[in-house]
Amino acid sequence: MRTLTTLAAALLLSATAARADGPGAEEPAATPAQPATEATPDAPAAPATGGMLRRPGRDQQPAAQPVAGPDPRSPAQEPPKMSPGLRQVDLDKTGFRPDPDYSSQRYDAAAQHDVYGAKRAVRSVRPLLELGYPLYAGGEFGTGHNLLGAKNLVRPQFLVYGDWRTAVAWNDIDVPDVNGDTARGLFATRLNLDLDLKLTATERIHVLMRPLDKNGKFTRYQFEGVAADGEPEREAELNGRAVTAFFEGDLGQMAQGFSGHYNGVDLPVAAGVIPLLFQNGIWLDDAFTGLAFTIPARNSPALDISNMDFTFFAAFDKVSSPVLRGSVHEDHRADLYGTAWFIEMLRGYIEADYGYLDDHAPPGADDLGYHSASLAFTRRYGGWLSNSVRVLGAFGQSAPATGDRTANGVALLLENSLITSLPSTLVPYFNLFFSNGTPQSLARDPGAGGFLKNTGLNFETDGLTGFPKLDDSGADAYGGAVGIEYLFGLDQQLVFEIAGLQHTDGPLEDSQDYAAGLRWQLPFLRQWIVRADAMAGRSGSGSTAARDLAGVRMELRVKF
Amino acid sequence: MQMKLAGQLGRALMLLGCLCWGGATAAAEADPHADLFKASPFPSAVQCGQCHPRVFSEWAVSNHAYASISPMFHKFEQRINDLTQGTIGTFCVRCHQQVGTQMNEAREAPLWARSPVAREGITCVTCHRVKAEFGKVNGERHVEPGDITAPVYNTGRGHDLPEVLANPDDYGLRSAGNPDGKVGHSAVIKFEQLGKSEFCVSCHQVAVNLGIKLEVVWDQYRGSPASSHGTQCQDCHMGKVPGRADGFETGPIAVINGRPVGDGTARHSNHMFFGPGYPIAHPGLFPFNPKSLNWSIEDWLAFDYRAGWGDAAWEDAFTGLTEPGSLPAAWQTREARERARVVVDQNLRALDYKRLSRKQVMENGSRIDGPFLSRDPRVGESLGVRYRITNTDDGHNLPSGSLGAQPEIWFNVALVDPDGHNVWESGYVDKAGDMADLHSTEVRTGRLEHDDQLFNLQTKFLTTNIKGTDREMYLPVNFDGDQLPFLRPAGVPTTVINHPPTVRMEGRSIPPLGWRDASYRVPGSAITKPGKYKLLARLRSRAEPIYFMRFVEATPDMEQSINQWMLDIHPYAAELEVK
Repeated sequence: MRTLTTLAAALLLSATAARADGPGAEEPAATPAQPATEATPDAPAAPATGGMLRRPGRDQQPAAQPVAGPDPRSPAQEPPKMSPGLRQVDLDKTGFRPDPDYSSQRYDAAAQHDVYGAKRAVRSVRPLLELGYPLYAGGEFGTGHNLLGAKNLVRPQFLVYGDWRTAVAWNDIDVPDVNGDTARGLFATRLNLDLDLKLTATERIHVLMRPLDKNGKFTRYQFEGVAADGEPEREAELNGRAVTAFFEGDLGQMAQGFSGHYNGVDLPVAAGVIPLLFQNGIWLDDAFTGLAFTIPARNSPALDISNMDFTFFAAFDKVSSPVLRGSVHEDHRADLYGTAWFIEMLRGYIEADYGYLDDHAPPGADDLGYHSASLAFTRRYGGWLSNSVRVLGAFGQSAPATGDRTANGVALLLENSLITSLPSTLVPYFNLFFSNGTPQSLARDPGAGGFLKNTGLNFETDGLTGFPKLDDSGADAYGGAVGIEYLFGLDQQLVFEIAGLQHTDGPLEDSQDYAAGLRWQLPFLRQWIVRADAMAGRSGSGSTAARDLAGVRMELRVKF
Repeated sequence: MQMKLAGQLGRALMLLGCLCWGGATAAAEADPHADLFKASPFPSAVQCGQCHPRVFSEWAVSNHAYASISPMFHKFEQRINDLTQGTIGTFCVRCHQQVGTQMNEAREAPLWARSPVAREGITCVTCHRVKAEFGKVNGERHVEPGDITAPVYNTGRGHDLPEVLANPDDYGLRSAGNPDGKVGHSAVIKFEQLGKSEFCVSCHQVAVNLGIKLEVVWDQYRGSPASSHGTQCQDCHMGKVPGRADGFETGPIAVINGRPVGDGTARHSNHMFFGPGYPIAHPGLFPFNPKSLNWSIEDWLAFDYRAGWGDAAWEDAFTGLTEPGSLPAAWQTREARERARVVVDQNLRALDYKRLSRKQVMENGSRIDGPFLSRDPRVGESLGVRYRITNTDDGHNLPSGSLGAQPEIWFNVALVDPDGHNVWESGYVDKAGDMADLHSTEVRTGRLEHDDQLFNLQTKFLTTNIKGTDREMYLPVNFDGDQLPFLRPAGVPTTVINHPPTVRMEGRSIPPLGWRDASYRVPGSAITKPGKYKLLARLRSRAEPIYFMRFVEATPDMEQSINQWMLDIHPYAAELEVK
């Protein structure tokens, strides 16, 4: 108590001294717009004079006055410029519509008590393995090591985490097996293991392993139908290779550590087998051997740009594209160069991307290289519509010796969702596309599907059981998907969608695809998710006659 | 084959594990002396304030002192832990309650069950006991333990300290002959980073797994003229003038038992840390007033300051009407209530003072020009009205990138006719206080018209729909892929792709030294008679949107406070003649 009394007295002295020393030896002066002693309904006006508050009774001891510092009056600014003939006058704030009225609200002590006293522990699922300092846990983490310099401290943390998905599905794509059956029933499983080694605050090494699938085939047991092409009905597709393995860091921070001097550079870089994803995977969704760097967080007062990032990348191996699929040395024949710009302006954001796939075609093979570019703008309108407009184009491909160019066309994608009275959890959407020719993403992993993957559920397979989907290539067609998603209390999901497309040219001219799909997901027991999907439709795409499509599946997924 | 692969994987894991060997102490390790060590590993600001009263008084009203008290922080922190299955863990408390978290206090521990130093939020030792140059560590720093006598770190070397230590009797320090004298730090060690923007990065540029940026002030600063010129965060936020790099005040570095230390010319860095943020805690709890420690936190929360407890008028009316026993135990006597009221009123005065500094920092960083009319105004004819909002701050955007998508700055303009009636307005709020956009409950239910011309600088969090475009979301957490989001390090290099997949932040702020026009079309139907009209204008600054507060289950009292302390920036009116 003695300490407190001493401190209180000192504070009073300090506050008094500050006032006496300050620009005005009195209370902070009121600005014309907002008097210092302005009363509010719940905050009584402060006395106009300084010093202690005076209260009845004995409590007139020196009090802590936790204020000090410079004169808080705003310096005079030039009056606002305005149109000729107008003049500045006194402001009466009652001319605005009123703020909320709390005159009938009563203080709820119990509720306020619960703010601090009713917090709950949330037992979290830890990563499979944690070495070094634990992820988002309490305790001392230490300062780290000076291996890379005092300005870029090394404090290692190694985590293993991921998820494991196992599904049972009955898929029917209307292609009979040797027994004439068109349905396939199977179990399939997929394990995603993320290995993350954090070195410094900005540097890390990340590896993704998928030990139970290889070359697009998953560890499985087929219990209905006969597998095609002589594939076994049960197979463990074990795989020890990394799917991605990259270093991510900041050259500015690293240089700072090595040089011992601060610099003005933030330059994120990534190198290795890097997965890159731009425009929600529409323009680029691939992991390749290469490198990337970004000039981040620039702005432009002249163009009123709040923020913009410029990424540049190059790839030298493992470049995937639908154009290369099935070709000789498919995985190793192309390089890639590109840039992706992200610009926040006009109450939305622009994505502008360009890249070139440089095909080192083997002798005698067609040069399949092409340019790919995309431009998109995303924004909300009028409190009812969320929208993205994207244009994706491929051009510059040499004419092949036979057949048509495979990367030569343009697509317009209009992505829309309605803003409902439950804007976070009830989301009707309608996504449309129109394409001419064969527009192509710059690069696409085979597992990433076509660039229509983000148009609708029915354009996407499940990445596990070969669940049926509509033609997602987006070549010479128009169509779209209309659906509605409900997320309950952010703890469950139900989605229903119908989708279709009409081919307008090329080998599939006049053919149609259409389907209806349903998805339901429910988490349980902290780390488990059960998901069910169903779809039924008809596909005119492909080399055979129109086929009926149907699928139903249920998946268990555990996250760790 | 399988064995070979497993062996390779095992070796890889071992190698990575070895790289981690020698890392920081794992929190989970049990230290048999932990309880003893926790007894007093860090001094409280109250102890530091004995010799640094000016700094204490500034800090006591600052947002740093508020970090642990903030009811919004606690509500948000709990909600996001619930929604992420606890995988966000101590991410929030690492900054807000850094010392307590380092002491392994449970993140959910009630405020009153925490150590006093943890309740002080970003307290003295959080900065002055740091000796390592941390970067973007998201608050995961190391604060050097030690009692009040342990060395502290500062921008200078404390060249007056030897003189103080050499003359303990002159300053009333503890000595053999004065066992009750004051005790202070034994040394001051120069720590260069403390005076640089780089020091602020560890908490003011933070990203949570999957690499989701929540604070981007550093990003904005690095792209600003201020950064190019070498202006530091401290120059504007701890200097002589809030929001301007106009130098620093001077004064004694300490005052020990009434005796100033040094010649009074030492640089004084203002520890109010000027900014627009403001507290909405119970005014008995914040600002940090040592007199408030006479009561427990729980007692304070039971004190109905809004009803007027302790005010003479309320007390006079109360006497004889109600049994005192109906009040909480701590507040059954008039004397106790009146004593508490003194603290509350002092704190409210301090908040009024803080409001002025908030106003100053915002007005020093912005400017409004206008109205500029499209034509001479005439009855029945629509009128174009334009204002120009300029960010005069050269250090970061307006608003800055602090607190992600929470802080709001919007423009409110109204036309008042010759009879004093409001005939047109943009930037109005609904009954809860939200702007009339998609987040307004009244707009969504059709009870209030959407404000089509709203000028709003608030940053937005966006998440990608299950398919298609993005939508605005309260949190930077995507629930469309699955409803069990785990916040783990991203599987993609997020720093080179702007944002993690399916989650992003959309800035609408004005870049440093930039401007943006707020343009409106006033319909002719609003201008029905000739005469003198007034266009009222103000920028409004609020720390939290009401819709977001409701999402995190904030209390009605918190809503009331957030609106009550909202700031009007550059409010003024212009008169125009309508013919």
